[in-house]
Amino acid sequence: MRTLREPKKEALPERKEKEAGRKRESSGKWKMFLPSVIAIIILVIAGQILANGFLSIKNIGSILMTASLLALMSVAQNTVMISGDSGIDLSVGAIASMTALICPMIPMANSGMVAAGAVAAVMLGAAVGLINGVGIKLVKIPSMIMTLIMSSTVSGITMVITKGQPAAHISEALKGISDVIIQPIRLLTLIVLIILILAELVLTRAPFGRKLRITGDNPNAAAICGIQITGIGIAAYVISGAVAGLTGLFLAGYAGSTTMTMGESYTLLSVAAVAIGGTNLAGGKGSYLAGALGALVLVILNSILQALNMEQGVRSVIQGLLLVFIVFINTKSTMTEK
Amino acid sequence: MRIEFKEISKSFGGVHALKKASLSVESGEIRALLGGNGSGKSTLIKIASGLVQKDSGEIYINGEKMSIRTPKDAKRLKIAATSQELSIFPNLTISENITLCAMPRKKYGAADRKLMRKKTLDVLRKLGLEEKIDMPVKELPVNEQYLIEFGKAIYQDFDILMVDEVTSALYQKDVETVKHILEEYKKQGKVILFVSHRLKELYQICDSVTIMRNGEVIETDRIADVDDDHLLSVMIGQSVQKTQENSPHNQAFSPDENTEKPYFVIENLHIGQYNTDLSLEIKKGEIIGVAGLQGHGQSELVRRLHGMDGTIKIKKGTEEIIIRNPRDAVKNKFAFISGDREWEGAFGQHGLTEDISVVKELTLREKDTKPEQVLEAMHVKYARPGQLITSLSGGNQQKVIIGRWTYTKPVLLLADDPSKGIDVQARREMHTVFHRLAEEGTSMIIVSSDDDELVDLCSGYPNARVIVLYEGQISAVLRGNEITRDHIIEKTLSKGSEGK
Amino acid sequence: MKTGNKWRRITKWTAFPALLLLLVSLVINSFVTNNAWSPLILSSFLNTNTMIICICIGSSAVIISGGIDISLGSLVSMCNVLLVSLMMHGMPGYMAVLIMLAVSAAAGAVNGILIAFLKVTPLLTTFAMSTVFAGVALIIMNSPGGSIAEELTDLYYSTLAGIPMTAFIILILFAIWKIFKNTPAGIQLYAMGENENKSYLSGVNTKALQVFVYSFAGLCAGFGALAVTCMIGAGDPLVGSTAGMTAISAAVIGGVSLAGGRGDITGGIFASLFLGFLTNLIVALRFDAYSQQMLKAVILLAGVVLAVLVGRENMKKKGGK
Repeated sequence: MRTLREPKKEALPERKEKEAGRKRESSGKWKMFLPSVIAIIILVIAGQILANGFLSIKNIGSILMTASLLALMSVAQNTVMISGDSGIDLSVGAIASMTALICPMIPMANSGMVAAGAVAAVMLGAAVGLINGVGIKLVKIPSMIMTLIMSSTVSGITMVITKGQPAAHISEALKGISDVIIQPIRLLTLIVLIILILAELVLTRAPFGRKLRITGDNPNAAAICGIQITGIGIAAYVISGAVAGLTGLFLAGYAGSTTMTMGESYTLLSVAAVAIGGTNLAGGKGSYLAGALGALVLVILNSILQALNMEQGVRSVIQGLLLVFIVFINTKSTMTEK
Repeated sequence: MRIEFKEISKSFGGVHALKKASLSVESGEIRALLGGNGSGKSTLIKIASGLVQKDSGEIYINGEKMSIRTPKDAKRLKIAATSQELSIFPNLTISENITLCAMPRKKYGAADRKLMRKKTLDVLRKLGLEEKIDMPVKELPVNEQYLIEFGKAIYQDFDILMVDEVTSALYQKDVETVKHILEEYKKQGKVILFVSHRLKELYQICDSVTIMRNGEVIETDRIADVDDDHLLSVMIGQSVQKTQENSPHNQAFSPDENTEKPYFVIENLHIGQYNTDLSLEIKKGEIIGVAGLQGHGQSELVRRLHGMDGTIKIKKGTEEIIIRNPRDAVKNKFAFISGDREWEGAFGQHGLTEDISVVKELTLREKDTKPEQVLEAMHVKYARPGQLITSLSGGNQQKVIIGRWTYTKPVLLLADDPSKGIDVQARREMHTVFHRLAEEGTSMIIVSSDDDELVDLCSGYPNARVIVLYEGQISAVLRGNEITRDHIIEKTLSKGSEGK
Repeated sequence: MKTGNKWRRITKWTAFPALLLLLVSLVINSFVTNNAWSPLILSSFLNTNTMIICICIGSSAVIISGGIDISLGSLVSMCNVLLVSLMMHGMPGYMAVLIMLAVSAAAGAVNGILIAFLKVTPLLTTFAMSTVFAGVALIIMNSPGGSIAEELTDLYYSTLAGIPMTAFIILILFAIWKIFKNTPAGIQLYAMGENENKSYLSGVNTKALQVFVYSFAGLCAGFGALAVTCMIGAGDPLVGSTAGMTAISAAVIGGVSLAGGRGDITGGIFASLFLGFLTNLIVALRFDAYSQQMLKAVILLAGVVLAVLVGRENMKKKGGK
């Protein structure tokens, strides 16, 4: 007679070191980390060979920071994708740009006020997310079109509010997210790690997370079981917007200055990160931690390409082709599982 | 012209749809292909149409071995078939629908609309529908849509025609039309296979009949040599009289009314498809089996009760409850089991324990988690509680889904063909569960397209009856030892063959 | 009543809402801008909007077939800089144009092949390819610049028998589509858009049709690139970046159903013109440059929401699914 063992408490895999892999209560969760881990190992070796000083503390620190931002963005994208119905949020980049440009207008002289600024960023993003959710789940506009148009709308609103002038001044307190905790880990990475762990716990244990996954897995069956799939679906977009908003604020703090489209590239990359992380692009299965690992892969890759002095255009082409490849593999693997 | 199937085998997952089935048909006869659910007749047709790949065996046409891997191959070999489900396109005209696969062209490639219309009229004339040529497909009544589906097949230039269950939605006069058309083709030397479960039609239309059961071809007879009893016996596998005797619960008891008051009173439940209203009373612990040809309102009945199609009001005990959506239904301790595991049942990417606890923990917020007890109680064969539900066999998957609901101790269990595609053993276990639930006080409405199942569930139980739906209305109620396969088939078929 | 029936058929035309919007915006525009409707003004208006109209035709075709293509905007950018670079390297104009068009069709074919044979969802495939095209554009030319032969620009702005050349560009694409729509393959395309599986069961060659329609969309982007090149007289690797989304929105407003199988490119053309008039209006009403983008996006959103809601009502009335 089998007794149900409580699943082991999830440990956060070390992001810098090679991952030995922990045994997980099946669903092949552990398998989701594997591609990223292998890719990271290969890329780190390649990086060290191709570019001198690749593994310097400075470079690792910079990679970790960008990866933290992308990892946070991938939490947003992952939520929407797990919620199913071919969900995707193409407005995350624009939302991040918006909060990066607008929120620093709020005076943030100390960490208390930075927290207030963060709340503002989250609320702003959530508002956009709500509009997305309503349009997609109630009006039934396909997610791609709705979020694409919102992306443009949000950019437009940003331009109106800032009158084309990027935020003049980023407060020192906000820039404090780049403070070093223990080399090479900085405050931002720590914050993002905490968010990731909390998010993963909610996804795996909390009722909302379970409902999210169940809805994405089989919306009809979920509805029959009495789950309010429309509400869950809208909530997913609200969360996505909120997290994207937060990412934007951190982005401003990290960069120390702002440009009009600074969040833009994160949109595509967040989709790629989630796909590498093994989330089922049609919904149901996913892991925030795996998505974060996927983000790390992409940032390391980009860093190598930059070190090799590849220009923006070439990097875009490589990223695009890579995404096609990743999505192809992802689709194949999630199809054969059924 | 002659087509021969030699030892065709095909399995889907663990289920053997065809086991070395062999048969041959020549021109000059209309051959019926008869069999119950799961007999393999549809699979055989699909293999010959290139829609499904056989696992082993050969197909010969006029003595030559043929390979049919795609619908294009079948077309090239001049095999035409109707599909069991309608595949007409509401966004195209009737003309375009009928000529879709072989559209006549003008010199420079444009579709020759004039010729299309002429050819469509030819087909429609044969079907008696020529005045409707300009109507939008959506506005045609269901029987005419099926005639159009038939029209699609006869439009093609074929040597071999396979008609698969097209007549199930046709009225008597339409069946006559089909019969005339098929007889014309017979005279022209075409090979015709006619799949149907409606015995009356077979006598009307066909010259001979091949009977299949459990994936095998049992025998082929001339229609003149057989009667209902013989056909049913071969289809079921036991002599018809024996079936009644062997029914495990058949005591000679009379269908007395149980004098308890009804617990659920459903009044005027609207069946949209037929614009009718159903009324039903159910006692606690009562089992109601719902029979009838597919699409006569049974599915709609149970779905509306679960709040899946508009708001309803019913009486539960002494109160009147309103159900607006499935969540209301679940909160009222209803349960709904769908036969369509893929779209409405299984959470394919989650483990067994998650699957089982969905309703109880997430919707009802009850937290005494012992899901593996459910697995044991349902006799599910599993290795680890966390394994994916899709790694189980179909029967086990359905058991898990049923377990998900029994876990919540429902007061009303609704099921829409819950044992579709499940093997006999798993089915029996399912029925045991249902009976146990009924004894514990759960009322249930179980729709089934398998008449054997309804007999298994309901005959010999004082607290059970079978209602037969025809065109959205209850056309018959069977109780006690009235519930036999023959009776059920008779009640559904006889109504169906009669005219409007 | 015979006239009653005719009236009903017109209002049920999927492009009717877009036509209505177009006429309304035209009227409002003429009041606000106080312009006499001289042929010069009309043809100038057309010239500015030809690129969007071309991409809209391509997007509509793809959506009707049951797919989606969001890479067309970036493809325009890529073809624009390609054309300019070829000409700057001394290639004669007509040859450069032909090569560019061939490349545009080939790029579309790549999309089609990936979608038809690799079975990756059209959304993600074209999303990824959008980045690839944008990247190639940057590689060819990493900042706006270059120039093209004056003859080409002159040709673009000229008229033939009183009809502006740009109208011919649109007419060519329109003609290709209309001819195709009337062939068996065209009718099968609509069937495929309605339900890919059922159409395959009915014997339709879905893979060939998909490769064709994405190639056609690519070609449309190529013509759009031709138009925009002549219009700005130079190359700009970011010229098409927002055009893709505008074009799809215009297609939806024009009555093409995102589920596939319904609608036509005519509605998209009307909607693109309508959006063009709206842009005119926004500029004429002297909204500042910053508000313009936001207003355009909000209008697109409103248009799409309305189109989707109207579409759902129509589906219900026609008997629903």
